[in-house]
Amino acid sequence: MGTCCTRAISIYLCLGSMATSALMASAVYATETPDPFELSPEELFNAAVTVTSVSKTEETLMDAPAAIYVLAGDDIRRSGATSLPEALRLVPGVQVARFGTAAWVVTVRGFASDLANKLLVLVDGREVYNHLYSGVYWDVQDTLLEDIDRVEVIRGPGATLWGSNAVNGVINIITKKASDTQGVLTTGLIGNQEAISGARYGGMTEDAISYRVYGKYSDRDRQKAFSGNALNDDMASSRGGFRADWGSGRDDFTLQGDLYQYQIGNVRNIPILTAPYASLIEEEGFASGGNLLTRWARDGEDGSRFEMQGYVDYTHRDANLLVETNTAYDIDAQYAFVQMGRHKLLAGGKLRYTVNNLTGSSQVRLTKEQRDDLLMSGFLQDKITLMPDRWFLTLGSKFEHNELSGYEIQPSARVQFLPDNERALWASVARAVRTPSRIERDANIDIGVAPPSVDVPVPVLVPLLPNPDFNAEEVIAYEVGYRHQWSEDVVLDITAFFNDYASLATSTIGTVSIINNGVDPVHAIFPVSITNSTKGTVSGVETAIDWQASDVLSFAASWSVLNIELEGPPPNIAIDAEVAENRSPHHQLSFRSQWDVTDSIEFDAIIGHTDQLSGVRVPDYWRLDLRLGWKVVDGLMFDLVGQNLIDDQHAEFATANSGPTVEIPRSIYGRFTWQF
Amino acid sequence: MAILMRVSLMLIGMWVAPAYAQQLHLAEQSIKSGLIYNFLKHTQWPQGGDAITVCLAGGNNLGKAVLRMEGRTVNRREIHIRKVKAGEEIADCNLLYVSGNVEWNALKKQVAGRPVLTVSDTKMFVRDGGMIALYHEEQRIRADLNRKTLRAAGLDVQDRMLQLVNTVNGE
Repeated sequence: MGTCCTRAISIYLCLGSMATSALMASAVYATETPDPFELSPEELFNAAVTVTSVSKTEETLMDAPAAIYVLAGDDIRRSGATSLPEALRLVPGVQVARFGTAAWVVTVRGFASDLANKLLVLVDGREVYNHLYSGVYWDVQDTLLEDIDRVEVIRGPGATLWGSNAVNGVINIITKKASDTQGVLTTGLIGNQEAISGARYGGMTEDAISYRVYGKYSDRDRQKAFSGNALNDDMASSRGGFRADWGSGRDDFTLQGDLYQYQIGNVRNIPILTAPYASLIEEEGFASGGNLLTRWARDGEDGSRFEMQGYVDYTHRDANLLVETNTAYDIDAQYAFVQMGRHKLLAGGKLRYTVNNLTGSSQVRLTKEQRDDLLMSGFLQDKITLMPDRWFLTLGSKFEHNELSGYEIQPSARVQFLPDNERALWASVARAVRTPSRIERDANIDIGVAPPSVDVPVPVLVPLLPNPDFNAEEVIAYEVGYRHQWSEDVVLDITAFFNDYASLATSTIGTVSIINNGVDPVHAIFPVSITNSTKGTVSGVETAIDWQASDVLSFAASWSVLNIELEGPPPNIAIDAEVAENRSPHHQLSFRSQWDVTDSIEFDAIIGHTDQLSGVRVPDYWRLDLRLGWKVVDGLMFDLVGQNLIDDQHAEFATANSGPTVEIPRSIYGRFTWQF
Repeated sequence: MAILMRVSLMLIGMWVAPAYAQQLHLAEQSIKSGLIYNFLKHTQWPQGGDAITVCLAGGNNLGKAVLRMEGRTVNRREIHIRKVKAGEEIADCNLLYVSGNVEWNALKKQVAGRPVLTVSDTKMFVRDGGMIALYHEEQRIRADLNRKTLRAAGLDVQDRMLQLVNTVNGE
């Protein structure tokens, strides 16, 4: 069967024959979990440790019944990424596009937009998904990158465990334990695009509480449009935080928090009713926030585990267009039962209370300035062993109530087949929803003014009207996946998916009227509101292969294909479907190498290709990033990094309302990291 | 798309190394317990005996995995496991595993100068008078070992193990 896959002519044929022959032969291949006391120290040090995200309990990456990828902290360091979204470029199947100094699109499996809303993101268990516009403020998501232990990315729905808005994926950013960040670390980076400095101190008290404190300051330069004009979107940010861990081993406690403040330049078009119908303004925006989280985990000696976590998260954003203040209070609890016969149960519950305050402007009017939302949810999951070590079935569902869309049930079923220790096959079907945002429900925004045309001889004002009836978007997702560990050094991961969406957000044109009030110039109003009137499918294949060629050289390659077909009302009634189809690349390709040239020199390269995005008129582009690292002495590292080396500049994404399309230039920087 | 997929599978096929070793996946607790067993096997104590005693302090974050060592033999000595608290008699402990670090400050004084192989799961341990730290880093379990404290206690860990760990010479 091994040769079947390595020499496969067709994946379908291969998977089909494997499944059937394995079914017949499963008894022959029966193996047991290896006894750790029978293993050599070399085998033990080489054994991979299990991961947590997919089932919220520890699992091996090989066995996880979902498309999961784990990005290690060291891969982030070696990639040369200087921000979290940039680091996500390393993850197969994730679309990352930069369209400003701190403006990012991050999405998986389509629906790219500056308001990409189908991906749930958590930092150490704290949700950073925002319910004002349903998305993530990537510009303020940051920490000392050296303190990141790993980033676990699940492509596909994760709503059964993680809740609403985990429609197309979940990203878990996990920082290191305080005991693993002891001592002093200082880092400084300076380049043609940015300057960043950071420091951390980790220590331990007499009572054996390990802790760290960190501070970071970033200054990122403004970007340029194709014309060469600099845009006023420079950014300065400072942030700091701490983490403390203590516990007996049976009970473990964590307390952590962050504070941040950002100053972000912004450019935007203000619609006006006289020629040239838009005026581009430059302004300063401010963002600040803080969070405090505590967690308690208890490991039962029988293998059960109880975890409880609570946090407060405060965010404030002040742009001239809109001022938002949001406070979230969140409590989660989870219990993993001891194995009972064939069943392994996992149950959990969550309470989340958010207070969201908005202040509008002449361009944004609100039907409701404050909304308090109580979200209650619970989940139950059972991993059923159909045949020991071979076949598993995982059934579960989330039951959730939120005040915007009411009750949501998000079930999933996953089946896993492990023919041997080297191969894993899985298939799943799941439902997930994206809950309505406040913008869709409560805001009345002047989006733009279209100049007079042959059809309409007066200027046309387009306001976005609130739609109190807008409801959740939903997906039924079908996935199959295959992992093959050919040897200790080569791992292949293929996932194919078919997502069936309904009730997708659609900009629907309302009744047109002519305004001739004697005050404003004569103009027409084309009101738009967001309705649930688009359906469609997104399908694709994601392939990733990791190869540790030798002790000093490793490669990772990935390729993903995406096909989006949406069906909405005709263009004279609604305007979304066609554009949304072409805002994500049909192909993405990436190739990465890490080479330890000598004991003190590292040389790393990343090459990537992204297909054109015709929906936002962005041509296809290649990226090349190179890094040369020099370990001067133990603890002191110098890096020289060049990013986007292939062309002078290229666009990665464009939005209608943020002025000219930003071109991402070549960037060169030097960095030192000193630990002692 | 089907054609592209075939091409990619062929490319993948060409990359595959002929070697066919299997990658092991184990729970963190099992790997650490296995390593503790290997340290028992590859360490020489000045005192002999029929039994070898593993003492667990500070709760037990290795769970059942480590308890399964009870009754096994290593170098013809039978392994006994018992839980200890700071202040209790620990003269019979050959290996002391400290979960977390709450009790270490008190135990540190008790084991000082005695032939007890001390193991914990925090990286700091080897800089705080301990001998071996087993910790999780980048999907593997790694070990730091302080040769100075090891030598001071009169213990001898064989080269095979020393080659697999990071040795630290600090305090």
